Amino acid sequence: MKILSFRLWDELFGIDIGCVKEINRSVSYTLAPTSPADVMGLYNMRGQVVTILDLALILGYEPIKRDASVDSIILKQRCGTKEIYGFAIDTAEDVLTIKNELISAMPANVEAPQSELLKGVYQAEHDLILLIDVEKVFLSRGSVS
Amino acid sequence: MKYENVSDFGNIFATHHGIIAYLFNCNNNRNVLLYVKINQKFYNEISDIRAGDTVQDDEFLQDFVDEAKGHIEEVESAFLDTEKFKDSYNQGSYSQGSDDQINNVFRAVHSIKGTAGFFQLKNIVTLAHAMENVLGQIRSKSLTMSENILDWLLLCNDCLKQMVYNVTESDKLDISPYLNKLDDILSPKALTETTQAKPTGATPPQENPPDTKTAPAKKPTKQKDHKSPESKTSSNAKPDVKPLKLTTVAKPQPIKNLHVYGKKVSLNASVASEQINEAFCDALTALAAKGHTVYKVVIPYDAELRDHCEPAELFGRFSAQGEIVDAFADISDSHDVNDITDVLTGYYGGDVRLELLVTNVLTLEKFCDETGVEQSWVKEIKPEVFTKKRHDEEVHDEPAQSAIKPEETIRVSVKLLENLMALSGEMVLARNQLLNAYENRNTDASAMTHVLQNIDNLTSQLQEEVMQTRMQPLGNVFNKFPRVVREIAKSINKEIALNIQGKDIELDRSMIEGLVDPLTHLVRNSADHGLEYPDVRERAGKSRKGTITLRAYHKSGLVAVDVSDDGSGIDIAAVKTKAIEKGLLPEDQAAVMSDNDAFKLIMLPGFSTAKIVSDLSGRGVGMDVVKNNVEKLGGTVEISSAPGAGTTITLLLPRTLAIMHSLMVGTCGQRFAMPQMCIDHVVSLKSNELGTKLEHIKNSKEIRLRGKLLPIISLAEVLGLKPGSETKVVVINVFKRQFGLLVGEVFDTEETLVKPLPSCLKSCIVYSGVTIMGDGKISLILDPEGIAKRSQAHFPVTEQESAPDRAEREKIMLEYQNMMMFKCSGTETYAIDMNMVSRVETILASDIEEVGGDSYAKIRGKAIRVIRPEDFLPLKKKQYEKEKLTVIVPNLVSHPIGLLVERIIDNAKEHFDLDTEQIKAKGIFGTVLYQNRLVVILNLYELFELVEPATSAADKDINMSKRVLIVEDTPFFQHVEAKYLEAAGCTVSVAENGKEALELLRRNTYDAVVSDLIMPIMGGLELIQNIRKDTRLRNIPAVAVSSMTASNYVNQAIEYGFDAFENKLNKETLIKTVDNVIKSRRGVSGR
Repeated sequence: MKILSFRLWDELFGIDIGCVKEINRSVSYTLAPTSPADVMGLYNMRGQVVTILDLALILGYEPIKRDASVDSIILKQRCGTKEIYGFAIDTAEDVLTIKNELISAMPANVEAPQSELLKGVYQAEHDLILLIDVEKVFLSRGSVS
Repeated sequence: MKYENVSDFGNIFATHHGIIAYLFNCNNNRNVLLYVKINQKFYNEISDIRAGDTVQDDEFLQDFVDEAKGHIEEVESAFLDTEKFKDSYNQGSYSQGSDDQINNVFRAVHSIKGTAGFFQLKNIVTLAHAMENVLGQIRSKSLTMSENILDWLLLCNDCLKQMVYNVTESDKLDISPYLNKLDDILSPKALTETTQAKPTGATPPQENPPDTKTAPAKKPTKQKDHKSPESKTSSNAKPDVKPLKLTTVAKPQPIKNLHVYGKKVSLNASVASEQINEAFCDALTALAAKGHTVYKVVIPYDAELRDHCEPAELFGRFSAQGEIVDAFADISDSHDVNDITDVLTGYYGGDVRLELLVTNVLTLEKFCDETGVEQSWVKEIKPEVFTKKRHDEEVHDEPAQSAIKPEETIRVSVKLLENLMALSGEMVLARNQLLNAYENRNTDASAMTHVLQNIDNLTSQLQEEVMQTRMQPLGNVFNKFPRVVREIAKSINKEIALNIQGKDIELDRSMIEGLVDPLTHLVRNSADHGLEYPDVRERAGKSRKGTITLRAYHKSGLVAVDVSDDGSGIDIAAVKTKAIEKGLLPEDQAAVMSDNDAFKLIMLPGFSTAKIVSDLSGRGVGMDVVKNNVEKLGGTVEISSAPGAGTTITLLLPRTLAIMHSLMVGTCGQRFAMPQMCIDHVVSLKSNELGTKLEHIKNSKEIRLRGKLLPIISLAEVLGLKPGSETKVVVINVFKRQFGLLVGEVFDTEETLVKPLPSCLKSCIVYSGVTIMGDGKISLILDPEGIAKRSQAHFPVTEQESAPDRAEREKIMLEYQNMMMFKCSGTETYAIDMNMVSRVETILASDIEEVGGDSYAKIRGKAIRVIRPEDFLPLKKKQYEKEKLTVIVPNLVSHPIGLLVERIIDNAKEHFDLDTEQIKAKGIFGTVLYQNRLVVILNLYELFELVEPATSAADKDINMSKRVLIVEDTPFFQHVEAKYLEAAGCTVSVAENGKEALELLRRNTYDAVVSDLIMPIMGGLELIQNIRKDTRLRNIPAVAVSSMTASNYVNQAIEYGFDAFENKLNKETLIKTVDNVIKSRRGVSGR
């Protein structure tokens, strides 16, 4: 399986490359006051409106720094939806091919929401990569998404 | 294989004994069979090909359904029209119109029958056939159209509709009741009559007789090139040449099966003989019995004609004018023909005659004209069996117009359309970006101007075109109303005529769909509550038959749809009473409420209940629903009504939904779009001026707007942002609320392309969508309703704007400023009031001479000093390079100085909201927004003072230091007059109307009053009367002012008690007059 690894608050995450449409750097987005906390804003990607979500916040970290622009992983449209979402990230790292046998389940001492939104931990050579379960991330946002 | 192109022209449908039948798919899927008699050798080859034909049933079945739907609607609308003519029919003096209608119906039913036959849709064919029989009788006048028959025909049509909509199940439906009924209708009549029509005289044929040919061609494209330009019809009637692979049978079938097309025609007919043989006669007799007149058209098919016209095209042309019963060509004698395609492509040089049997022709002349056939080629067929009972007039009286064919349409997949829409939207965006870049450019890039203009034009055009693909004629909605009205009329026993106008006005698809309900509602209302009963009408001196008119037209860029009736009108008193009863209207307001406002009461939710409606002659069923629906489409509803004369309800709609005009507003550094639909006007707050000062009542903010408190919602607060200094109030009308939205900045208006709101923002309720702006950034579109809702916690719903308020606003709009806009060297747009312009001259750069540092221009032989306004104002400037310059010569000043400008842009007559805050400088009144541009309004007097301090010193002589009350309703003139008088040292107060002025006058002391004449609530004349009546005020000096130099009001003003009359824009005389008046009055009162 191929994953895209990226950093958020110095932790290394991985997301199935199959979910990723593209990576956009220094995206300047429009704030949407009164929106749910995990919605950072909207971004015009070649005429399509992308809703940028604060992945850090969703995963239970501190909100990502709200600068005027942000790097973002734009996700492919999920089936049945027309809208496009992007995750705000600190930096995109690499595309890796990972071996399934090196993925371990989330350790028992990890609490929600991480324990629910992550597929598992990939033990890379130097780091641990937390694998994100995109579907669950959206499910956790419930009816809002 | 050499026949592969055969199918380009039509399908070989069946073959039999040396005759092949081609099925041509002409206009709108009307199918025509062409029989070609060929020699045996060729026949054999063709038979082989046919065996391999594929069958594509479903696709064509769908085509049939679509086509049939159209026909059914046609039948319905024609029936309802027929009703109109029923009377004349019954009197035996049939009119042209009624014949037309019958013909249309006949043809439509016939077409359904014909096509259904191909698909073996037995029930549809049977029912259509039965209807056709009845119609034939009616047409031939052997049966009289009656209400009863019409009802049955309509029912049958409904049944047809039902079957067509569910075509696969159609044969399961029991249609026997209909058939029996139709039989009943016919049974008493012996069909003794026959038809026969008249042959005719002739109009000269068009220059190019079309020609016909039979048989498919190998090289279709080549032939197309030869179309003659003169034959209009040939290009118009260009048929669809796509191969129609009909359900064909795998093997050659006996020709008998061709009967499915509905005509019992034998194929034995020989084209060679002029005589129609007996088998033919049978068919023709059958047709004639049904009221058809049959013509035989013989077209000499020679090389020349062959070049001009493809067979399919030719058939298209004919079938557009009539029904082709049969078509024959005989090439069997031509032994040198090897291949049927040779005939079509012209390889075969011999002449062939093509014979067409055509029926359902409206008039012979028209037929010939439209098809380009020489009249001598056309013969009416009179088989011996026919008796000559038909009237001659029937044929020649038939109208020449009629039978307006629906335009050919293209079906485009919705997806493709949506892509196109998105693309064009993008193009608009690109244009905006370019424009933006241009505005911000630092260097002079004059070359860019061209590009910009081009892109601008192209984009707009492209977008318009694309939008057009979504446009549909309103006729699509209107067409259902004859039926609706007819049914209502029957059920409530009224006589109602429906008049429809503007069917071809177009609106966006989605709008059309959204209009169905509101219009149905309105029409029902009109019929039910608007129109009186026949007896009542008669007593009122009207015709017994009431009229409802549906009318669509363009109105200032919008589409207006009127639903009007000539009924009793809305009973205003009754409406008011009901509204008071319902607690919707305070009694005291009711008295002062204008009629217009009273009409609007019926649109209040809660006004309408079934009960009210029954005892009121007004309307009210769900008018609030109508209003809401129309507003959802971005439109508005207007009501007007005259007692006794009727009511008109006008729906004003934008042509399309996707593009919205928005005003960009900003707060806390963020921009938002506010739909312009709901914006009333913009107020600039000033801390020291009544009416534009923010005041507080506990926690809520208000401003006093024309004597009323306007609740203010701070956008920043609603959005949970930290408010900064916010000084602009956008006054918003939503539903029955009016409130002010406090924002930080107001930018341009933009044409915004609306995109749907991401779902996770829906919970915010304050947004209605998103849009992409010129800089590529996204802006959220604010939803005023949501904003009001969200702020409700600390802000109660305000009452509806009161009547006087509204009336006042409407009146204010009556006074316009007429501005001339121009550009100087900078990017700014300037304007001065037209009244201050004496004339505009074009001069050459060489006409300008420098004298002592000043520029003078020779204009009409006189030297006049000219200045560039930007030299004296804190504005951008640069050198001119133009050869030709424009000089504006001002009016109303003692020492005219010409303004040297680059070009005049526009004249605008509009009500401007002057903003004096944005740009403050001497020589400038302020700024206004005009068509997305910030326009700087010049104060010429101040400007000239800057230019020539010496000359204007004269003004300074008058130093009045007086307290002057200006009574003026137009903000712009308020500023102008105040500036002038302040310049002369006066202290100025402003009242917006006479009433306010009187209050101020009674409270404070003024040395003079300067009053406009036309104002809301209390005008100048009334004011002066009141002043002169008041013992304390009677001696106050008063000057009437007007923006019109020569005014009829002058005498009247003096008569009513003003001391003088002055032009409000002429600073010098205005000041002098005020001064004089004060002096002379003092003399009087001093005594």
